[in-house]
Amino acid sequence: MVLIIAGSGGHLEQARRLKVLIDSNINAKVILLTEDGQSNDANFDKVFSIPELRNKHSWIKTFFGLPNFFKNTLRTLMLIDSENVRLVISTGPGIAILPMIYYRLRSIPTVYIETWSKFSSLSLTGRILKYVVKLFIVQNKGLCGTFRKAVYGGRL
Amino acid sequence: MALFEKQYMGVDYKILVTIGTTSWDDLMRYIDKTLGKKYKIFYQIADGNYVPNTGTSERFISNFQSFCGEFDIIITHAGAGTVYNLLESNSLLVVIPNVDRIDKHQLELADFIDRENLAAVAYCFEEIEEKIDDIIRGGSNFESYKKEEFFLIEDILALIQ
Repeated sequence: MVLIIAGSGGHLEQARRLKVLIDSNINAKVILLTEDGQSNDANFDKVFSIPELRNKHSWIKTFFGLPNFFKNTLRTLMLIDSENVRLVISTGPGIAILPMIYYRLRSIPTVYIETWSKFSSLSLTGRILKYVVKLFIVQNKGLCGTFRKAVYGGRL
Repeated sequence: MALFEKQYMGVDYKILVTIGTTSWDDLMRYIDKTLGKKYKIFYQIADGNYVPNTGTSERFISNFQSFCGEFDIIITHAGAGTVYNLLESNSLLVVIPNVDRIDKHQLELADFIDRENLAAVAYCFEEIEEKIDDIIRGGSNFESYKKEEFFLIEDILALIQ
């Protein structure tokens, strides 16, 4: 089973496009881990959700939401464990950090695709996950120099 | 019918304002009080609190891509999902980055769009009308969006144990 981790908005749109590419290459169950409010996405075989990590208007609210976020994420990852995850891909954003660390520690292959809206510097999530994932892909060529192991992959 | 022909014929332009999933009341309020008096506007207001008095408002739009084809010009926040979808469908766009958000991702994309001349970019509300006037007069010749398709899917799937 392939697990895709993606937040809302453009991150989720990238995940949908990724799912189309996966489906045209292999016959595999593809599960989505996303933010609350996106749970009705019918493109995926199953959808799990956790509360959004970042408050788009306040860093303080983001900070105070962290403990709950960790608790909810770990609980959800334990639910997903029954699905036999063999590959994890994320299109960001920050909700992917804890799961990617979790799966890397369990030696399950992890791939991060930096968001298509970054052209000259990595996102905060990218800057953290570049040290975690097995394969780090960028969608804009200007990002290739930001990390030695970054691989340009075209745009979703 | 070309946009300038519509003006000549006195046909109303249809403009869509779309902001994705994050509210942007200031933009809606500004357009309602300015452009809303001149054009037929459809506002996609997400979970915002401000509901414009002019035109038509909806919070979210299903079948977004086919819906967009009904509009002459689309004013859009610089959210990448929305912008790339609209560029891929060759829509005429005025892109405005939402700098009220704490992250500044939208500025990077807006700069890219501006640099590559893929659409009009307004960096403040006051520039929006000028950009629309340019488009209607036929003074804007945008480049076609050429996308290099994602080509690493096989490499990713090869990692499956």
